[in-house]
Amino acid sequence: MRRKTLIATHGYLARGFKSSAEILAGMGESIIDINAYTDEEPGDYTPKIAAFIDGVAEDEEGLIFTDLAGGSVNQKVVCTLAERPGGVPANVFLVTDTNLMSLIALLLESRDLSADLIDELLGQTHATRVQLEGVLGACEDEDVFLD
Amino acid sequence: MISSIRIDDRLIHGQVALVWSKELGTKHIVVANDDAAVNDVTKMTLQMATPAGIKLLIKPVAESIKVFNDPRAKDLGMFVLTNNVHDALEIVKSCPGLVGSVNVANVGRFDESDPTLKTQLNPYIILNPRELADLRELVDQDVPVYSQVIPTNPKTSISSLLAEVGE
Repeated sequence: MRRKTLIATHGYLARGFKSSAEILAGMGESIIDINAYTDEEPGDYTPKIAAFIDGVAEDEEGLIFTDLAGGSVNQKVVCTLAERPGGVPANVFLVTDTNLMSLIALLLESRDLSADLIDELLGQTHATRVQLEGVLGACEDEDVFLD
Repeated sequence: MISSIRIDDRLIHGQVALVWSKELGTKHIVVANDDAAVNDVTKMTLQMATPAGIKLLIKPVAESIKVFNDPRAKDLGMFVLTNNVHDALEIVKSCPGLVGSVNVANVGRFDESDPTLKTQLNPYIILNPRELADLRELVDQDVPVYSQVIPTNPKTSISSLLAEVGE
């Protein structure tokens, strides 16, 4: 199914996500970015969110990423979805607390999206403390590798 | 079987870990590199770059060839990384019928050889004379050899890139 993607954040994080997604996966250019509360986006950006949602046809999927669950950007998306005449479209999904891994994981997914599939894909994308001890070992043993 | 050998001077990095492992659907990544195999810090960073659920093996080139020819590796669909053309050529020659393709992705930019002697095939492939000779030999092997940095790029045949620079 054709997928359309919007990223909306406080400041230029959305543009940064878009740039990183382009470098890593070649999938950044088609993303629409809303960089809220910046010089280029000083006013109400709700119409842009509504226009994006309206632009997702019934046989397409819409993915909206925001930066913070408690932030105003996410609130604006939630309100726009919830107050939409005709109800919340079943083919538009909202993800918040977005990080680069979660963005790429969903962009690269080739199966049709569902709530369950998105939950599964997001399961391993949380921020992680890097452990420097005890990392080595398995990568040297071909019997473990070939087992 | 090796589904694909990728020549990439950064070995496992963001493009590889996130994008290629998914594209190839592999559960087994091998880094075939003499320097990485004896450097614990390099091994640690490569291990960290490997996505959860994927097994990583880091071996010197000669030892990796033994693994590729092991009967237990027959059905694995391994994704193999080298950081130079020479090592990839050696693997292809030592694993007849076992290599699906070679992707010459990012190579030669950081090899610290004399830049005036290098040949640039595209912005990501800049080869010293020895590597260039190895690449010519590689395209003569019975394996598809192409360049594709990320899956959304088209595959460019290395033969055509060599022809463009008069090689």
